Amino acid sequence: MAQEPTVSMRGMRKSFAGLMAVNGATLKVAAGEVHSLLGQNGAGKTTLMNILAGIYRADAGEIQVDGRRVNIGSPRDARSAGIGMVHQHFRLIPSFTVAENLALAKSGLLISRRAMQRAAERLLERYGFGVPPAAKVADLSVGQAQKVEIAKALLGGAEVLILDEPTAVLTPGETEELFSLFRAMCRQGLTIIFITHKLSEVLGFSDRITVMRRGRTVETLSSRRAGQETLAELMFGRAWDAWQSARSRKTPGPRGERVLWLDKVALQADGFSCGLQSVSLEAFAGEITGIAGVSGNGQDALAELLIGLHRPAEGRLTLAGRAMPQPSPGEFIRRGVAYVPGDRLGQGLCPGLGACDNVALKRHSQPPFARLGLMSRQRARQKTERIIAKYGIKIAGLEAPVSLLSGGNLQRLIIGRELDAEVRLLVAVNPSRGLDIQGMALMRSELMKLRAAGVGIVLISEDLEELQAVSDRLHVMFRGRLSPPFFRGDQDAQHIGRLMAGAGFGEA
Amino acid sequence: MPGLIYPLAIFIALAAGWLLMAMAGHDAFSVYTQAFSKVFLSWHGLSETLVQAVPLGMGALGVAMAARLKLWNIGVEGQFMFGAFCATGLALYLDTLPAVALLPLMLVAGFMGGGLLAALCGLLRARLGINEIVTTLLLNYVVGLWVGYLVYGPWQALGSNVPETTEFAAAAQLPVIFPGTRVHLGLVALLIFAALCHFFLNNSVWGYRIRACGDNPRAARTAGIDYKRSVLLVMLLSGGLAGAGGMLEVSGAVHRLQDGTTPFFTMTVFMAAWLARLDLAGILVAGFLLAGLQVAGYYMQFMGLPSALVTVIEGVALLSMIAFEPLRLNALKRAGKGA
Repeated sequence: MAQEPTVSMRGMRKSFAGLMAVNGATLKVAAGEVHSLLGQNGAGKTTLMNILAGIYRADAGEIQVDGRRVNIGSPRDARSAGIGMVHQHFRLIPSFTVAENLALAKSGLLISRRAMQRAAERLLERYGFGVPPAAKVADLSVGQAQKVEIAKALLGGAEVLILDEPTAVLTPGETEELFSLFRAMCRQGLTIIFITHKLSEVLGFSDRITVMRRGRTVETLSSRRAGQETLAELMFGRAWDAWQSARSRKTPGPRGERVLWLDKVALQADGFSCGLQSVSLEAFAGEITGIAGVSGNGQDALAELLIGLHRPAEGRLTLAGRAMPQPSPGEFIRRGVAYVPGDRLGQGLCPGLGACDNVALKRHSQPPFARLGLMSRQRARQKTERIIAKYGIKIAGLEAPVSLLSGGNLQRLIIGRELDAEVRLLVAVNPSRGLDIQGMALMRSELMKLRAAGVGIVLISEDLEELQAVSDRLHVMFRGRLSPPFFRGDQDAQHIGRLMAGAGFGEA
Repeated sequence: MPGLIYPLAIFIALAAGWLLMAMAGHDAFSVYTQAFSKVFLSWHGLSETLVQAVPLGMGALGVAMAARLKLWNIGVEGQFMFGAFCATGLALYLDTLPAVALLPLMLVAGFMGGGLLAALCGLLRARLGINEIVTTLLLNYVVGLWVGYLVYGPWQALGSNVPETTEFAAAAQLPVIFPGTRVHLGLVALLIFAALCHFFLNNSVWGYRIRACGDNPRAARTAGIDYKRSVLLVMLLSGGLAGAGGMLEVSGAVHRLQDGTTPFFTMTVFMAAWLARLDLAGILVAGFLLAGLQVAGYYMQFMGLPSALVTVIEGVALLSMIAFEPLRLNALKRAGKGA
């Protein structure tokens, strides 16, 4: 590169409570370019940028701005280095006007209303924001509010502007507008880094692209030289060849019992979940059925459906040959459904209770944990001690709150509990996310052991490498819909990456 | 030292009381020493403290039970009164029964009366999502007016001008356990109820469900626990404890139903529960201390001081505790890291 990079990050590392969010990332951004940071959810994009913006302090790594080494420990440090960030959730005061919100970016004790208004007008004019400075933020559209956020960052002295998933909230028209604004800003000498997981945006609107996977930066390439397939491969890993050649098309030999059958199931969207539309899925004993997809495409709703938390609005759910018109989690547990949730402390465990109480959670009212309505501490303790020994869980005490455990130990505790019973169907969501090599290996070997023991497994994961390593069949999920299954050795597997980006589902 | 905040809070509260008394021209030191020696070092004071500790302790157990599920039962006062009303009904109309039959019946009636009243709020919360703070609080007024109507009207003692029922028959009165004092069997009942609560929460399946739902409703639901049913149950128990407290009070200490709710009952009861951080044994201790403070208030009135002074001391103590909470948590965290 002829030009010195304006921002350079090298060897960046950051972990949260034992989970490696960023694990060796290197990023070089040239002055005046639109640089996109591409990756799946959880790839570490936002964490890396939060380090640059001073929200988090890196565990290791070096940051240079304009060739000088800087120490960024707070958002203030970042601002004085000329770095500003627009977050996914806006930090504006709705009842204030645009000009008043912009004034917040300025320091000083006294504010002149006139000067404030004029400064806002000048700034908004300069880049063609098209937002009236006297309007109340509450009355603005999302696209306009975002521009106010951008203007605020610029007013704070930003020369390098970071945007976290800026198009997630925008209509297609607003997206176009935003990207032409990016162009205008770059012409005036600003540098823009934007985070995204949408392939189409990256190719159309950025100069260069850095792809992240599992906390590492994989490659930086010019958008002119990149194609959708190359990017998908970089984003999701290039493990497909192995999966295809592993076996020629799966032999339709004797197959285990069908433990789960979803027949055109629909689930209403609510709140943050996008719901499910006409999802058909089969899982067989002794097989691993993988569900791939970028998170937020209905995986949570699917997982909760499979453990009996939701009643399908349409379609049928059949568990081990028995129709389940009125599902309930308790009944699914009794029928041998085990669940390793993606949100370990949020859904899998009671953080304030001890290990014993958490081990008892799923079967607390049955022997050996309880008899005649009374709990047996003694037996819960024995079981817990066995699980702790079997999985090598590091723990301070059986009664100490489990919130004190590290991520890997929490996962081991959940696995130990879920598998300490007769299991016919295991639903696992991102089971090895955030685990170290050892934890991942353990997870994988447990899955293979269960598969050999004739358990049906539904593995919902964002980690394609893991999916390809263990899955016998694979679906892709996108906006609440499920692709038909791909089998090990299937030619179509090459397209899975593109399916994950939404190609082939049509516009939903 | 996380435990240091308790003496510190009490010290600050006493200092505030001192300041007020000094401003009013009283000798705070002699007031404190006299009150202390009368309450805790005399048989009469000590026995009165034990009598007062029964309703406070029962109410605080009720508050703590609901708080285990992160519910706020502000209606312990109403449930207390309603339990007292139900027990009084039996005492007045079944006065021919022997004590061994009547007293247990009254206790059950008090428990179920208070419990069902609170369970109603639990039902509204579980089914319709109506905030239990509002419903329990408002029912306090309903119950207060209902009891007022009774003791000014149909249940008023014949020929009396005072808003109260006639004195209960001997069979409807809890026996005194220390002759020569007013300390009644209710004190034993309080200890038994506290032990039962402890056993229920830690050793029963339903208690376990309540602890799990209180800690993480989402994980509990995922594990097949019915959160709504836990809400209903916990409110029934919470109100039931308060209602049983009402029965113990009318049957053991007052021997009749009277108008007028106990002033600051809810506040004092909440304080006992939170001072003890919902720990059941701690509640007994806190209930005893706060009862002592109330008895001290009566003595202070004899000395010509306003009883509101006690309220001030209680309030400042609680406020200091809350203010020191971050300090305590930090100390705990440091201790946890060091271990």
